[in-house]
Amino acid sequence: MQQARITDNFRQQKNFDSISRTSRDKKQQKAPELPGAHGEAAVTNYDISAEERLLRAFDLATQYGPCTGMTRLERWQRAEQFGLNPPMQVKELLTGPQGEQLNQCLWDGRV
Amino acid sequence: MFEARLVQGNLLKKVVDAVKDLVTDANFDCSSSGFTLQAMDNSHVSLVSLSLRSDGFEHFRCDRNMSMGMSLGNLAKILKCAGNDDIVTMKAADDGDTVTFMFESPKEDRVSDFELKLMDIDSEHLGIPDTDYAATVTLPAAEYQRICRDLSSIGDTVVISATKDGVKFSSSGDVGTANITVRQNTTADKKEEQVSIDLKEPVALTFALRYLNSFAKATPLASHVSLSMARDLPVMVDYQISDMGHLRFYLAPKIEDEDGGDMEGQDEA
Repeated sequence: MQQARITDNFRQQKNFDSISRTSRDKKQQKAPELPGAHGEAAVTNYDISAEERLLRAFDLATQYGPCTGMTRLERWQRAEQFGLNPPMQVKELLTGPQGEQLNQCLWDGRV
Repeated sequence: MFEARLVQGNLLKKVVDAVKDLVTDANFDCSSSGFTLQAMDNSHVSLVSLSLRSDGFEHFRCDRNMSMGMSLGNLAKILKCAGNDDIVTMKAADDGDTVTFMFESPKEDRVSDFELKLMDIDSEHLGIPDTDYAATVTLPAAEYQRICRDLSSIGDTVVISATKDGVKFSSSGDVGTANITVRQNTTADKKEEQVSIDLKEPVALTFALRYLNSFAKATPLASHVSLSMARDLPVMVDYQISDMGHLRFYLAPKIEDEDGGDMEGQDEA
């Protein structure tokens, strides 16, 4: 008998929350705040949906290159062309019924 | 700014006491919807998930989502200084590195406050998928505690098998073997003694008793506990905290080694 790990079934979401937290800590909390990074509309939002969480993680995955100046779908296609195997789930979301609304990257309208 | 006032202050005590042996340090996440914690034990075998909804607090204010890393041992030390009937207020500034606990005695003749230093904890948030559990058994929390305690004197692991006849907890060790069967009983005179079993299909899983025993420390929080199981998935041990939220534990099962032997275990189910 082997002891399974909890992480075998529950996937880690080491994406947006932890990234934003560490970057805040490193900058000694004095980092210039992003426009619109207050209150409910804050970039660090724990209440965002699972889909948005996934897409933001995709935005922040540096191996697929910069995410500004293009839509998420364009970025996904570019990554695909370069043979980087971007997550299929992302494409499915972006080409799905809600694709239009989800197509703008995390920084859209903020930078 | 984060501010939360909890009239049943000892609820916080019970929560921390239930979790502190499993997890040493953890991030408490505050948002406008409430106060939550998610943490794994050191060996990454079990997961604790606490949720206290904001409407369960007498007063709750959280301007900005924040995550407060605390040592649970130190938190328990501080909460030990609160009386059982004390009203507890937690306060933290948005960019501060401490959280303040204020205890007020119900007669309003004593007020104490404690400041706890926060820590930076690099934690990974796990996504808990919505699961269609094959079997859910709800039994008195004290009964669950007793089963785990009794079985741990016999062995280290327990096989929990749910069938239409009931839920069987079996363990074996050098001493011998033990079987405890719990049957559905929704007609018990006292509501506290009721046992209900919701079975979609029979399931049997093996777990390390050490963890199940540790989960039983949450017994004072609720009258009942429910165990939800699905094949090859972690069991969910759920304590519902009335009017507030829940404290849930997840424990990964022990699985058969890759090289065969797998089917035998399944047949017994």
